[in-house]
Amino acid sequence: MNRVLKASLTIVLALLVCLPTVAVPSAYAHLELPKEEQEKLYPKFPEHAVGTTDAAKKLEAQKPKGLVIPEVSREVTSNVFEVSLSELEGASARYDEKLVQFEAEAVGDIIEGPKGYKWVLFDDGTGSISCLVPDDYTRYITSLGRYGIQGSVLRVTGVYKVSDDDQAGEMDVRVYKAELLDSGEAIQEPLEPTRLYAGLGFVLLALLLLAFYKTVSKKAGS
Amino acid sequence: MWTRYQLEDFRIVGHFLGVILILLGAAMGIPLFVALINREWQPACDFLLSMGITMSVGSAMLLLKLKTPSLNGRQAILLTGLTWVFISFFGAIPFYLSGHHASFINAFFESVSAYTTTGVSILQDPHHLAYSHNIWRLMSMIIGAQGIIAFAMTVGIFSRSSGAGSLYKAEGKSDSVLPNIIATVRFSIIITCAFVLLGTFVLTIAGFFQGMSVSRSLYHAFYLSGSAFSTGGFTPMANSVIYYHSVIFESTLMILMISGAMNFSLFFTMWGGNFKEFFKNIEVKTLAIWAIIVVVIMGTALAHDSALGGSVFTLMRRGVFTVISSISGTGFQTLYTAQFAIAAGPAVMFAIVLAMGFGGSTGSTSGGIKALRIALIVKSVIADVKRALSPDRAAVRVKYHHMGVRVLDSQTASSAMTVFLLYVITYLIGTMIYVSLGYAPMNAAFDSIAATSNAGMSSGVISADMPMLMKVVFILQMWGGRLEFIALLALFAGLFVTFRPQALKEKFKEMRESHE
Repeated sequence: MNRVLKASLTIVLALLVCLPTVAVPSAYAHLELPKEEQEKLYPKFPEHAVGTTDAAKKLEAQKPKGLVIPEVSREVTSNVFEVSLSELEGASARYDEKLVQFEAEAVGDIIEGPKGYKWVLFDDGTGSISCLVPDDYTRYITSLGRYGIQGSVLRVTGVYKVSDDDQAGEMDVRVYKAELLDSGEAIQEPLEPTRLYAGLGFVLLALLLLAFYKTVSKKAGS
Repeated sequence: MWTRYQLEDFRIVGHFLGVILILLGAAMGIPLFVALINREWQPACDFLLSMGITMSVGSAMLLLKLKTPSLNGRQAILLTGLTWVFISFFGAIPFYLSGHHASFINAFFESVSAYTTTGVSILQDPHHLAYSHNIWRLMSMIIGAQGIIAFAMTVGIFSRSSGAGSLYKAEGKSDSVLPNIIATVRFSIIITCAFVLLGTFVLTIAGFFQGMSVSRSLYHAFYLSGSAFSTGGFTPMANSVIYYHSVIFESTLMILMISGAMNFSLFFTMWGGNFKEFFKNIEVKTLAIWAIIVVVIMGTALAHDSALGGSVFTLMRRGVFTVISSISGTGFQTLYTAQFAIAAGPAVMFAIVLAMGFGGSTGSTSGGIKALRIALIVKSVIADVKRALSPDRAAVRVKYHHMGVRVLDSQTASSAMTVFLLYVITYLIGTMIYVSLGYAPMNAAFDSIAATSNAGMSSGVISADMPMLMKVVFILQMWGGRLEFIALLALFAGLFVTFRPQALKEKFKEMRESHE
C-alpha cells in the first residue's frame, strides 16, 4: 500500500510539473503569424486612450461605483513625470500621489482587481510594478511577456501611490491613460548547435565511464 | 589533537561524491523533459549539457574506489561539507547557461541560495525565464530543504555505511523520527508531497478565480506550494506574493510556511494520534510566544511609525504575513522591499530582523538559531539562577517537553549556546563587512541576518552587481547557516590541517624516507 501511495504521489507530482506548461504555447499561436496578419486580428486602440483631458472626463463619466478615479486637470497633465520602474520600486516619496509615465512591457497574467479594473504587471527592464488598469484597456494587451514571447509594450500614465489605502497598502499605479506601442511578438531564441553536440558528447562519455566502472568493479569483486 | 585526512579518506569521499553527482545529473532530466514538452529547445540543450558534464565528472569520480566503501564519522563530515560545494557548483551550470546571470559567480550565488533555501534571487529578467529553468530553481530548493545527503539515502546510497547517522546530523538535521534514519527521511518526503499537493489544489482554484488560465494557475500553485513548504522563497514572478493580490493566496501560503517551519518529528507524533504533543511541545510554545511578540511590535510600528496607510486589518494582514515569512525563513513578501526598508520605518525592520534571526523549529526546513535552542538557553539560565539560590547540596533538575519529557543536561545546554554564538558571530562579521563596503548599518545587518538564517529577505543590499567580496561572504553565510556551521567549520579545519605547508613538508619527508 505504501509503495502504491508513493508511486501515485510521484506520478501526480510529475504530471503537475509538466501539465501546466503544455497548454500555454497554444494560447499564443497567433503570435507566429506575420505582423500584418496579426494586426488584422486586433481591434484598434480606443480613441480616448490617446489624448487630452477629454480622456479623463470620459473615464470619469464611466467610473465604477465605489472607486475614485484621480482628478485630472489640464494643469496636472502638464506635470507628468517620466520615470523608470526602478524609481517607482524604490518607494520614492517624490512621486507619491503624482502623475507618472513610463513605457513598459506587460508580463505574466491579467489578474482580477476591484470592479472595473484588472491588475497588470509591467516590466521595463529596470524594475516591475503592478498597475490597476481599467477593463477597457486590458482588451488591447494582446500578449503577455514570458519565455519566447515579447509582451505588449504600452506607454502608461497614471497616479503612483507608495501605499494605496484602497488596495490594502499596496504600492501601485492607477492607470488613466495607456497607449499601445507594440502589440508583442513571438521571439525565437536561436539554437546553438555546439551546446547540443557537446551535451550529447558528455552524456555519452558519462555512460561509457559508468559502463567501465561497472566492468572493472565486477572484476575487482571477483 | 587535529588529525589529518589521508589519501584514502579523499578516495572514499570522492567515490560517494561521484554517486551524488550522478544523482544530480539524473535529476536534471526532469527540467530537460519539461523543456522538451514546452518546445524550449535552447533550455533543453542547456540541461542536456549540464547533465552530461555533471554525470561525466560523477562517473569519473566513481573510479576512485572500485568497491563501495563504508564511511566513518570523520569522512562523513568531509563528505557533507564537500557535497554542498559540489552540488551548488554543478547545479549552477544550468543557471549560467540560461543567460539570465551576468557571470558564473552570480549563477553560483543563485544556486547556493536555492539549495540552502535562502531564496534571495539576483536573476536578471526573471519574467522571460523558461519554465524548465524555473522548475530547476524550484527543484534545487526542494532538494536542499530535504537535504542532499538525505535524498541520496532514500535511494539507497550510504545504506551499508556506518556513517549514516553522522551524515544525517552533519546536514543540520537533529531528530530522527523513526528508528531507521532512512525511513525518517522517506517519511519527511511523503509529508512534503502531501502538503505540496494540498497547497497546489487550493491555490489552483484560487488562481483560476483570480483570472489566470487553468494551466498558469496550476503552475503558479505548484511552484508557490513547493517554495512555501520548503521555506525557500523563490517565486515565478519578481514581485513575490504581491503579484497575486489575494488574501486566499496569502492565507494558504502562511499555513504552508508554518507547516514547513514545524519539526517533522511533531508530524509523525501527531500522525500516531498524539495531538497533545502539539500543545505541550516546547518548540511550538516558544515559536508561538515569539511570533506574538514580534507581531505586536510590528503592528505597533506600522500603526504609529510608518508612512504605510490602511486600516488595522490591512496592517495586520501585511504584518502577520511578513512575520510568518521571516520566522519560517521563507522570505515571501507582500510589501515591496523599499516599502518596509523606507516607508515602514526602522522599527518594522527591527521586528523582521528579530523574527529572521530567531528562526523556526529544529528538524524542519527553516533556518535561523531555532526555537528549541532559544528555549534551552532560557531554561539553562533559569537553572543557573535556581542553583545560585539553592542550598549547596541541592540537585537542580530542569525538565522540558520535546517529544516526551527530557531533562536538560549541561552538554545539551552547551551545544545550544555554541550554535547560538556561532550564529550571532556570523551575523556580526557579515554586518561589519557590508558596513565597511559603504552600506547603512541597519540595511547591512538586515541582509547579513537574512543570509545566515536563510530567510531570503533583502533591504536592497543584495543585488546582481554587488562587489565580488560581498557575494563570497553571502555565499559562506548561507552555507554556514544551512549546515549550522559545524560541518562547514570541520571541513575548513580538516582541509587546513591536511594541506597546511608544515603538514605537506612532513608528508614529503615521510615519502622520501620510505623510498630510501
